[in-house]
Amino acid sequence: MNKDMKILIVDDFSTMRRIIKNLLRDLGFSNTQEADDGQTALPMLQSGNFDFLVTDWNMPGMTGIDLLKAVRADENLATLPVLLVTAEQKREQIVEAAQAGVNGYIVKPFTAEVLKEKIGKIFERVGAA
Amino acid sequence: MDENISEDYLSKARSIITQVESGNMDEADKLVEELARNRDQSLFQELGKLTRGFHEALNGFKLDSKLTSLTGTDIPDARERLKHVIDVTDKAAHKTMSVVEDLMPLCETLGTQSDDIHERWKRFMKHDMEAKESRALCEEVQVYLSEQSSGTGRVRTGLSEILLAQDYQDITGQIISRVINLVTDLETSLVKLIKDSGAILDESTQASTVGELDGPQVPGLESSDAVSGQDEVDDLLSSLGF
Repeated sequence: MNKDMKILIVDDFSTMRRIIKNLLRDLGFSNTQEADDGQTALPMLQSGNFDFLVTDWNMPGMTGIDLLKAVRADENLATLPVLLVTAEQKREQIVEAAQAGVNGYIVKPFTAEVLKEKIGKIFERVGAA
Repeated sequence: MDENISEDYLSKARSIITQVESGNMDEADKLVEELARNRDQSLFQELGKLTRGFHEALNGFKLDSKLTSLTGTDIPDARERLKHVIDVTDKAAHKTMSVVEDLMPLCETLGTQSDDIHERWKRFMKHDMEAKESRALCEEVQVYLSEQSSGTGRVRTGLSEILLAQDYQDITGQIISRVINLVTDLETSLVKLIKDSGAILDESTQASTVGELDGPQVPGLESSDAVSGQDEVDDLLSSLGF
């Protein structure tokens, strides 16, 4: 796994962005940028050569699931690994995310260990593919 | 006019005809008077009903003004208070994270320094060190001890700052309790209003929540179709081929 990979963190709460940023840095990933919803994130993704997207679901403007769908619909971004980190835990929503092509799904509140494990799994799979 | 009264009217009217036909005018007069009294009585009953209706309408109006003050003043007030809760918790979280971000590198530096000196100290104790290096080590230990002392001082200060940042719980707890009271008041007023206006709450009037996001699950209020944590999310995803 490339520790220099460029990661975009999307959450409407700056505290959560900061927590994720710190956890990622502890895992050795310090090349991170932030956006506060899908609308801000999408142009950044389209022009920024990001390697990984970590996004919340419930955000004003554009939600995480819509961002995921927009990413999958964009031919330049279609294969970008996406991790949803969200408080939403209804079965139908998890299924919806899976169908939209999410690579990992973490429910809040979460631990540093879970984040590490999911990122590891995502890149293991992406590497194998 | 209810049925008993109209039957009473009918039977009296028939009696009047019978009495008049039989020539008992006195008796007929008496019956006419009774009929008139009956009509007055039902008039009073109607008046009584009207008065009661008026009284209830007035009470309803009082309730309405309670609702007016709830929706006009108390709800916007609660909105501001809840916004304040977001601000206060946001500030506390950032304050705590700033201190942690500040102290983490310090702890790493102190830890690395101490490991480094420890290794050489072990060699020094085993007399496995040249005199020149020993002197250098002694000087380094001197610097290290003073850095260690000022470093732990900074950690202590930071920890008290983190401790103090937790005072948001008290403030937000009080604000949220007040908002809970307000919501309870509002609920009571609305239920009374609904009862007074005779509306019946049934299944069909309850709003559907399909397609809406639930947000965080709250203990005791878990949604029946929600999973209960990361393990269940993982199970569900792996059943979908993840």
